This record gives sequence, C-alpha cells and structure tokens, in this order.
Amino acid sequence: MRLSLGRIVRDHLSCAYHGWEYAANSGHCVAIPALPALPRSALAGKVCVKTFPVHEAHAMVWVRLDGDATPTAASAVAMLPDAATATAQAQPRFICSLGVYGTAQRLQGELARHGFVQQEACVWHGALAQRPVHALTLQANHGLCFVHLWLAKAAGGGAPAPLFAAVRRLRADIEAAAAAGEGCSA
Amino acid sequence: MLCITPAMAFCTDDPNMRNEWLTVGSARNLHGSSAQRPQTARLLGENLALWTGPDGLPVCHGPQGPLAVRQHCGYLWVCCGSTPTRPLFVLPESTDPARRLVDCGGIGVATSGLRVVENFLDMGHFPFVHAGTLGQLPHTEVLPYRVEIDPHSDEILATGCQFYQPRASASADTGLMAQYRYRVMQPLCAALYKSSPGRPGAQDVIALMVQPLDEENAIAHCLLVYFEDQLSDAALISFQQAIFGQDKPILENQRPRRLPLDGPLETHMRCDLASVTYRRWLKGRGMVFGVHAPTAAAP
Repeated sequence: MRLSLGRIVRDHLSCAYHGWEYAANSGHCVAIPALPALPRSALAGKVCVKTFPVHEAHAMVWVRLDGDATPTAASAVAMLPDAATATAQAQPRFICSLGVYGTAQRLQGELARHGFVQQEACVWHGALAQRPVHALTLQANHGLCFVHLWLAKAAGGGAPAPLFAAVRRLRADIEAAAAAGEGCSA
Repeated sequence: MLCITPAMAFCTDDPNMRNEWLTVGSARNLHGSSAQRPQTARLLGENLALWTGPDGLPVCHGPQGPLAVRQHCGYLWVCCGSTPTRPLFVLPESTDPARRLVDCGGIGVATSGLRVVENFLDMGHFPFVHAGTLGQLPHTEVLPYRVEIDPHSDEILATGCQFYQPRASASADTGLMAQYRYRVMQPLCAALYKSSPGRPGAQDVIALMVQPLDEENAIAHCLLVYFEDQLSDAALISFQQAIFGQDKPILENQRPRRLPLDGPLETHMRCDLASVTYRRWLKGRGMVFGVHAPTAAAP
C-alpha cells in the first residue's frame, strides 16, 4: 500500500490501509493498531520502511534518492549560483513551481529560446519581467516536468504581478512548443 | 501493415483459471439476448458472447468456439478450458425461500482479483477504510480467530471472527461486536456470514464473486442472501456499493498490483491469519495468474 496515501498521526506516518505507524528518520514500525497490546519492544525494528535523506533550503525540500546524506551532498543542494556567496538579505527568493506538459529536453530548449543560459545540468539563469531568475528543471514522469523558479536576488521586495504574468507566458510557450513538436513526424 | 498471427486464446494457461468456473455477472444480463444479438463479457483477456438458447439455457462462445456455461445463484459461470477441476461451490442459503437474494452489481477494479478477495477477508482495515460503518477508531483490535482448510471441499474457513462495528449493516443504528465467519470457495470467490439483524440467531450471507478481466483488472460482483424485509433493494445495494467504493482506491493503490505469494515484500502479523492462509493456499495450488512474479534481480 502506497505510504504516500497515509496521514500523520502523533508525528508518525500512518498507512491508509491498516493504520500501521512508522517513525521518522528510522522508518521503524512503532504501532500496529490491530494488535494494540503488542509492546513497541516486540517490534524493535523488525518492520521497517526505506527512508531517504532530506534537506530544507531555498523554500524547498530536497531528497537524495541515492541515500547520500553526507554534508557535501547537502551543500550541493545549494546549486543556485548566488546562494553560496549571497548575504542573508540577498538570498534567492522562491517564486513558484510550474508543472509543464512536455519533456525536459523540450522545456530546456524553450528556456534557451527565452534567453536562459544553462549553468549546470538542470540549473538555468535568465530573466523574467527584467528580473534575474534561476530555473531548476526536473522531469517528473514521461510527459510531465517541473520548473522551479527563484528570483536571483530578492532584495527589493516580493514578486510583482508582471513577474507572474511572465512566468505564465513562459509556460504557455513551452507547452505550445511541446504540442507543435508532437505534431511533427519523427 | 497488419500482421495476422494465430491467436492464443485467453491471457493465461494457469489451470486454476482455465479449468475453473468463473463468473461473468448476473444471469439477468441475458434478458432480450439472442444468437443474433448476444451479450458480451470480458474474461481472461478475451471477449465472450453470451445469449439465451432456444431451450432457455445459456449459451457462450469464446474466441475459438463454444464454452461450457452454467447458471448458479443467479449468476453466469463460464469454464474457459475443457473440464472444470471442481464442481461449482454450494450456497444452500441461496435457495432458502425465506431469504432475499440481492445482486449488488459489478464494480470494476484496476488490480489483481486475488487482492480483491484478500481484502474481503481482512478486518484490520475496517476502522481506517470504513470508518463509521464497519469500524471506528479507537476500536482497532483484531482478536484471534481460527482458520482451517476443509479436507473434503478444500475450502478455507475462518471462524470465531469478531470486530466492533458502529453500523454493521444497512439496518443497524447502534454499535455492536459483529460475529463473522469467512469462507473461500475458489481463488476468486469468497463468502462472509454475519449475524442477521433481521433474524436473531441466523446469519446473513454476502458473497463476493470476482470476474477476472485480465491479471490486473477485475469486476467484483456482490450477492446478498439476507433475512431482511424492511429495506428496499436500493438501500441494501447502496450500502454495499458505498463500502466497496471505499475499498476501491485502496485496492488500486496496492503495489505490486499482482499478489505476492513469496517472501518479504509485504509483512503479515497474526491478525492477518486469513490473508496468510489464503496466500499459502494459492501457492499450494500453483497459482500464477494475478500473482506477482519477482524478477531475477529482486532482493
């Protein structure tokens, strides 16, 4: 049963099917509602779910699916170029995440067409509504991508309406390009 | 270019499915049917044609010709092989004139039919999936019960099952400790016997009969055989369908879709005795249809 359909009960992840509860970090099952008299010691780590290291930065939660929890791996999360050297006031400011139909390739092609420059595998730097912007692209599944957007230097206030309008135009352009691409024969 | 290859009939060779009576739904579906205008039903990856013959008996044709078909308990049963290994199960209550038979219809589920049956045998999910009717927090305990396999019929029987239910049936309005018995007649057929509110001392029957469309898709048919004369068919059907509507998303989100019969993929405890017995029983029969086959690289 997919634990992503569970709920949080007493700081434990509770499965939607039989309510088995799993502790954070260890992933150990700590309660089986069908057997309320079973002492926690009897379970003692015998039932366990797989866990992954997580890190919070730049208003997002980052996960290492390869399980690498070393500090250098965590600092690599700060892949936004300004984040390493920026002062607290000038940290990148999260704008929004866009779900976009299309492949990562198509998406990145469109970012390039909008003047974005690739800085690392999935990290692009460009501008929207004349403001400097970082974009992080990720393929979620076949045909669905995410673009996460940050203002490169947040000093000067929040994201005004023209910025969001520019973000919406970017998505519309990406999806129009993806649709046009699908219409062509290979 | 269209390439025509000889068709392999049915999506499985598993004798547990090919040499078994499998349901294709209510016999009433044949009303108005004829050889010229048959009803269709999907079974083991193929479309079947069914109609009422000139002698009033059901007729069934599969991809390669006629198939044996019977009517039993108000449903149609087809054998996609030569001869069924076992006769159709008996359900004596279905011919009791004091009882009502209510067909609750078939609901599609995108999972192996084996998972649908296993869920039917499970009580631990009542307070989580059927909160307010078949179960209620904090009454989550599954008390020990007995499970055995009948040496004559090879059916699984679970007895002495009990669970606290706030609203055990459509006619109940107070909570009680419901007493249950379970019976598994075939890999895809099970029945539940519970204390009848309409006839104290007697038991109502709910029969689950699963139609396997293929290894990961099924239609769950439900038959009620009740002592009950207050509620309409619609009220009884509505209650059952609401219950199944709660099970459906849970079933469709179980992974892997096919039922694992081996190893540590899924964990069981003593509260899951009926499920554990069902899986061992399936394994003993060499069940492969709808069963999760681990890849060579699996841990």
